[in-house]
Amino acid sequence: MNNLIVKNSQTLTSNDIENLAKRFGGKSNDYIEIVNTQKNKQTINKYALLKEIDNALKSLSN
Amino acid sequence: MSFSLLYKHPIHSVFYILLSILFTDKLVRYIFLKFYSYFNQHKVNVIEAFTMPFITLFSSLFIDIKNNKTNFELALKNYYPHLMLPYRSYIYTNIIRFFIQSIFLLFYANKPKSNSKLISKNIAHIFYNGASYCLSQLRWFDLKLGKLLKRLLSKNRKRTEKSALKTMVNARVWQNKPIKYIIISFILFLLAVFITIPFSLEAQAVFISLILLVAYALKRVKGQLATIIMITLSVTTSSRYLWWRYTETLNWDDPLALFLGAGLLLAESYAWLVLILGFFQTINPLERKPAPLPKNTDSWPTVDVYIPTYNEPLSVVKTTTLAALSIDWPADKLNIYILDDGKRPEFAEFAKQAGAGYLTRPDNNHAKAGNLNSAMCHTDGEYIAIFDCDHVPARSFLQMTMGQFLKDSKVCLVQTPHHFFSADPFERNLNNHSKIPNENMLFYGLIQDGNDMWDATFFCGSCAVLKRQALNDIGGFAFETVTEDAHTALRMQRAGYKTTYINIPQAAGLATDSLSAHVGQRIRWARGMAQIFRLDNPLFGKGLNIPQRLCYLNAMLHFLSGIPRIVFLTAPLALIYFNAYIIYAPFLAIFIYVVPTLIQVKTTNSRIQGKYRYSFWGEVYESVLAWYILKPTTVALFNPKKGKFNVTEKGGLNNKEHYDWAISKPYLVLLLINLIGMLVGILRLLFGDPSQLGVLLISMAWAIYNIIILGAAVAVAAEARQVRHSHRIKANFPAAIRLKNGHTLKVKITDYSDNGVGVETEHTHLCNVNDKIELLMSRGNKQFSFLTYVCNTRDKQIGLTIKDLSLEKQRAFIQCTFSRADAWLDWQNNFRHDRPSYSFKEVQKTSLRGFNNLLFHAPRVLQPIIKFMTNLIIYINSFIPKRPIVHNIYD
Amino acid sequence: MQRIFIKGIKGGIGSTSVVANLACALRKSNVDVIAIDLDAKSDLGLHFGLKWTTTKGWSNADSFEEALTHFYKDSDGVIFLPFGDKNANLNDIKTIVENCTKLDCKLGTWMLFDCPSHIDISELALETKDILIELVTCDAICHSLIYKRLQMLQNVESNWNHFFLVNRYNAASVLEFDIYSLWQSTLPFIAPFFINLDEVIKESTAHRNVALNCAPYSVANDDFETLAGWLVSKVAF
Repeated sequence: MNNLIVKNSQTLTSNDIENLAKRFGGKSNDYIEIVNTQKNKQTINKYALLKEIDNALKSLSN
Repeated sequence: MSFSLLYKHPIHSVFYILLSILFTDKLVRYIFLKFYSYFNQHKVNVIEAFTMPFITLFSSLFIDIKNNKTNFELALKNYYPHLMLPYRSYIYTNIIRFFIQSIFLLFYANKPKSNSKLISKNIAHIFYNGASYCLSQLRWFDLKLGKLLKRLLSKNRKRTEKSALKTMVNARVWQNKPIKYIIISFILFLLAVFITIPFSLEAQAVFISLILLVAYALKRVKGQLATIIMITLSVTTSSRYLWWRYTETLNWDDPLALFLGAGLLLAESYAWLVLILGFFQTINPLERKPAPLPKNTDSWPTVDVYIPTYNEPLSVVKTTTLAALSIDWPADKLNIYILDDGKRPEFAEFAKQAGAGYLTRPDNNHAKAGNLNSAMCHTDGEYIAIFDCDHVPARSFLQMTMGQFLKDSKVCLVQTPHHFFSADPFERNLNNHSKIPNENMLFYGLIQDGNDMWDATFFCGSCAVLKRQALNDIGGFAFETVTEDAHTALRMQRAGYKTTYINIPQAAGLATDSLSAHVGQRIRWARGMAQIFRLDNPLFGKGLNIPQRLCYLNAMLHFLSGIPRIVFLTAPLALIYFNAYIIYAPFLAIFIYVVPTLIQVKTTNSRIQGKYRYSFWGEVYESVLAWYILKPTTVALFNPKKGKFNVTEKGGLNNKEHYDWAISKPYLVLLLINLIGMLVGILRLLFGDPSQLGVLLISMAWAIYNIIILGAAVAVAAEARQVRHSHRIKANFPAAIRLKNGHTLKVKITDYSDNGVGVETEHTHLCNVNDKIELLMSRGNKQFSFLTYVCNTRDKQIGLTIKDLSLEKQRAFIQCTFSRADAWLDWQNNFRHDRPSYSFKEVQKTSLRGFNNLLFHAPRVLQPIIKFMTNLIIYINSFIPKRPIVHNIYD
Repeated sequence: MQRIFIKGIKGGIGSTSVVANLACALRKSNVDVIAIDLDAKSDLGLHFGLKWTTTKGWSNADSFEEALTHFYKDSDGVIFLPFGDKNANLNDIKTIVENCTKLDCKLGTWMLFDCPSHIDISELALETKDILIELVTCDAICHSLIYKRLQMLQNVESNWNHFFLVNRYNAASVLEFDIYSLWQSTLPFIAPFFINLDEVIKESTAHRNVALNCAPYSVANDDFETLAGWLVSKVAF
């Protein structure tokens, strides 16, 4: 069972920026790629249903 | 046996029956087999063919033919290994060989059985035992000494040695100025005494061997303090050596010797100065770490990325631009610009599609500096990142570098190393890519980190971020010289800004593709440095502190290495040709002063630079460039305005293997005079004055060393073929492929280029060429799919080509490969620490290769002669008796 | 005993084959695995090589003692309990889950429940160390269902470990890529990996086996091992 704990995916690569940070420091742990946050906005705006859900959630939380 | 057969082959059958009466069936069959084989294949006549098997059979009653036959053949092969095969076709020469070898064997090979050999064997045995005992004792002593020293060094300081150094540097004593000056002057006084006090030869021998002993013991001790002690020892010995040279070794009576000797002495002084400056520069490399950025990305500054290009193909610029576009930075704060001095419409088109800016200017004044300056007028980012169009940046580039600016508002430049994924001409032509650290590594691995310590990091023109305000303060990029980068950094430093360096490879590019281009690039750098020296001298100008001046001085001196290098390459010939005592001292004195000093300096350098430059390779690199940077530096020193910017061409192909005769001409001349010098030396050894033996031998040893270095330099000129249009980069990371039938397999990416990927499956695959395959590559947990075509297959390997991807997909591809943040990290760590003996062996090998190349590529007129000579040598060599082959019984 | 509940956020997402393959992956590392089919389709057995004619399961049993006779063991050593062909209401399901939990089995046994997609999780009395994996595919319906689920979780006192795991991910589809990228950086509780679309999973069921046994070089194999490893590390800490 212990052999499973150390099992890494053999199809996905490790996170490159995390690797870099591990070696040299210089980045906080709870880091979300900046590029992603912008891409997400685009995705939500691209699809009407997603946009609707997003808007509804926003109005709910307000 | 049926009667129908009897009817068909009457004779055969009759014999068969007859023989069957006398022999067993097996033997009968053997006789017939042999008969037919002799008769049909060997064309022997009937009677002979028929009797031969009987003879064999008969003799087999008495000897074990089968065993003896192989034994005989084996013996022949072992004792006469050089007989030409097949024996019969070279019968006469083989007889001669056999004869000579037999005589040789009589006198040589039978000896082991004789008594004298046994005795000598015994003696050898005793000797080896004794020697190994002595060695083990020595090793024990060595270990103890090392441990003792280690203890001594870290006695009062329980922490690591680096902190020991720090406590020493930070000690309160230094705050008191008078005490500080007293200590420093005392140390200097001590040094001066050690350097200038004249010793008798014996005293010098004792002194130098003591130093060597300490240095040797320090070999095992790691840490900064030990390095500093090594440096101090090297400074002492080398300064003492130079003092001795100036005071005692000039021959004032012989004008020729004085002239030549003074020349050598000047070259040596230059080498000494460079050595001392080098020590100073790299005494405590800073190894700067990236500074963290604030959490809120709104406070991150805006950055313009400039990609200047002039004549490079779109495919090169495309990769860089797409990689720059995927740098992880807020999109509204990141703008990419292609600065096209070639003004090509297809570039504008591409920039528009990709979402990058495209800037041109009406003229092409001041080359790259002018291009950058004109772009600065059109953009308004707070910071400017510059990538040569063949340097592909990693995604993390800005996040690794920008922190420095936010931490310290005086920082105006963050430079990262230039990493090359293709082999530079040295590596390619010598075939030692990623085996021997290349020319660049010393600079980016060590020197820049050393410079950073003294606030003197150089700007290298690419892979760097600059502060716009600092550039504005100095009036934009400096364009007065051909090395606008170094000059710009110098000006910013003068204006009170700080330059920094982070040794994390965050971009990778193509190295120059031919030796002539490489040399051309270095000529430009050399010329530029000389120009800066004249126009804006960093030694005397305003605004720099002393360490910065020294770092710049060292950089300049580096490019003046042409003349001294050539002096060193020819110096030993002065004695051989002209009998001029350029080092006017007895043999023993020369030996005691020169050799230990060299050893000391070499080991210290090997210790400091070991990971980035192997011993002796510096000489090879320098030798190649020496002649070519000699002229431009001299010209630029006298007339700095001369000379124009030439673009370094990259990404090309060498279609043919060829030898660059033009570029190696000066080295051939040097090599020739050295070789002739060796001949003269040998003649003088045999027929000359016996009192000169020692000096002559030393000179010849030096000349041989020079020949080896020159051989290696010549080897570089043989341009290897470069077949691929795009460079394959070795890789090892996981991915998956989805076949047409929906099966999805794990694979490993073994290499990639900008238009293809090589993958390895875990078991033999069933893909065919031209199959369409979906490649699933990931960047962290984000998976991308690429449509690819199989272009070649082998067992477990598949070569995939990427065709017709949308720009978005191309960007994703580059993100998964070239611009992975950790793509180039391991390249620097691939090298072991330098071992001088290994390194020298490699230089020797390379040198041999150089001579080989010379013969191979010799002009057509000379080819027949060389062919004839080599064949003659091979032929004569075939007659020389060879040692019998001895098989190891344990095999 | 470690309980894992696996359900699709909607029907037809492939939860049964995930249960079967996960059970097999866990079993391969030498732990005891018990898989309970809570879905009235009662098809889990088919993945483990149960005879087509065997239709009886726990729903046919009147008491838990009788249900015990319906446990089977497959060639890998996975113990499983088919649903059967009788109707069962939510109460029956709750009872069988409770009873199974009370089973006297070895320490470190994994119990996997293949839940039907329509079941209300909050009814199942999950505990703190239980893990619930909701399988999703990258489409707009799942997107909407996920956000509904998130709202529900906010309102309900949920103390179990809830995760969303993407199944049958196909990066070649633009929509799937877009949606998954969005989820990866915005969605709480999303597992840090996904199960790739792989024909082998379907094919192996047709061959009366699981992908893990049929295609050792397939990505599916690796994905399920990764899933198992991830669960093990989640339990360990």
